[in-house]
Amino acid sequence: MKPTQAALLIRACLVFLTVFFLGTLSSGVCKTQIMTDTELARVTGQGTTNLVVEGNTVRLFLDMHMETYGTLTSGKAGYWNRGIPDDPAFGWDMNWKNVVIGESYDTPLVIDGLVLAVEFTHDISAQDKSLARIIIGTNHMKGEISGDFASTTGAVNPEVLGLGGTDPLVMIRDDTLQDHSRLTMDGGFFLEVNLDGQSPERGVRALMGYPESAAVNMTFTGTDWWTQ
Amino acid sequence: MCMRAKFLVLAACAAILVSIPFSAPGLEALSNRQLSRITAQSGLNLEAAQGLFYLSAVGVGFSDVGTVDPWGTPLGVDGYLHGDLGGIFTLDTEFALDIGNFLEPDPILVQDDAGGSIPVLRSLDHPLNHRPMLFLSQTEGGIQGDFRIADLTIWDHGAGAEEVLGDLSVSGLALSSTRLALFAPPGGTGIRILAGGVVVAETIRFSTLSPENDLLVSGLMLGSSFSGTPLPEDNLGNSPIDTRSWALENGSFNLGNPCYYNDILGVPDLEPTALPLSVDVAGDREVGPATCLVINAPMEGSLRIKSVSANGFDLGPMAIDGLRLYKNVIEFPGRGIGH
Repeated sequence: MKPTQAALLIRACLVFLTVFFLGTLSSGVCKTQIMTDTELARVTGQGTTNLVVEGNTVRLFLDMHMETYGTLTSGKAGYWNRGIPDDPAFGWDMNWKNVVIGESYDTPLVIDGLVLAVEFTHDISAQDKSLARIIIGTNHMKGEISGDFASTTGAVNPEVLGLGGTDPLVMIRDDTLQDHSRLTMDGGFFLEVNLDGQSPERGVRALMGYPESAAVNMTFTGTDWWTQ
Repeated sequence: MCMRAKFLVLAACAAILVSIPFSAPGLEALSNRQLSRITAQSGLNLEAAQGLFYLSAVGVGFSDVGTVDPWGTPLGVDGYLHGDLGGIFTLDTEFALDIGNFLEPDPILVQDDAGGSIPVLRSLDHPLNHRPMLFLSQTEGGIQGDFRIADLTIWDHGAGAEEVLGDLSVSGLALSSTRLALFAPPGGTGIRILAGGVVVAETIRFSTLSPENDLLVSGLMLGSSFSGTPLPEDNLGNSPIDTRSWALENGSFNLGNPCYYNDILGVPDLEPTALPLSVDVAGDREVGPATCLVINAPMEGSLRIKSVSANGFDLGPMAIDGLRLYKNVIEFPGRGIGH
């Protein structure tokens, strides 16, 4: 039977809509593709970003890989009355100038895994708790940091400075690193902001070349804290 | 060819032709012809002058522990954080939000090393120049607001219970000189972003039940550079730094280095080339999971904090001046290292 003009028009419209729909569907989402099962399985295989409570500490671990190259005119932190006898009362815990992060664009500073730990003064369930300290850093930093390290508080593994031995150089507003001008990192790097006003460890300090456990245990006067 | 076949072929061709604009990559800029049909080459333009808006949410959280997604593969995100979110923001600004293909967008002015300004988006040989899809510029005024997350809560897997950490509040938050340009990279996937702005927060407070122990961050400023009492360069001080005079001097904190890429390539004679923030997906990584999100977030600017205190202990100011990251690649998830 020969179709009428109206029926032909309807069929043409159906074809139009079908092809239009398929054309749009097939390629219109190419910017926001859903990953295949295989691709997704690869992503989740080692992704271990997590947020956990450990004792009085909330610890966030971000499983990420970073490659950074850049410069910094000045980085300063912790200007308060440390009250050290025979020393001026006020000074910078950290005062790094003309810092170069990484060696070059093609040889950047590499960081694997970021740690943010927030420690409370006592029982995390207690309502009257308060913040004791904040630690941010990484267990795996590889590459160079150079600059004029005018003042540093904390501790550095002698390997970071190309020196022998394993015992850390402990510094309190110290310019020891100025003699070296270059940190060769292959391990942990952590910055701590200690907010416990009663603690002798209070202030801002850095730990270079040791893992997170050492950052948690670091003291100015103790021994073997870097091995625990 | 019979009439019926002609109709069907014609319909199919018409459908294919009409579907072409829709089959372009998801964030493709419209052509002038397409744009002219819609808004006479102006794109979609939204403007806001003044207003007041209230932000509220029961909470925000993330966790996929104990859940199974349609693929049966948890994302490996093991955390839980939520709180009651609320705040009031005042919009006292002139915002222009344009969506379309801009031949002459407002330039993003960036400072070069000689102190001059370079209009990045007006450079005709700029590789991104012809493909901006969204351009947002805050011409004057600003957004001021306060917000608070009450009872910030974390799920303690060890204890099998929630722990209320405290309240987090931000007061006197102000955004100004905000600019955002969103692009599709020529011939590739992913997105490119150039953004800049000035951010000020009068106070950021984390509090529990003991107000005297609150963590108080005062006078946070994010911008290009600052004026006021200079920072001591040595440790010979006998008094705290008077940070009251600190103020933003000029410029914005920029995400995406606008013009220094040629410097690091060692070809300074070339015209400045933007190095935008990029977001891509890589599927062939050799170490760690093969597929990952790759963000390169070059940035430049400075950060000042007038005071950090807690538990009655005042740590004094903090300052990061003249930060310029040429390369800041972040792969997520990482390579399973550094736990």
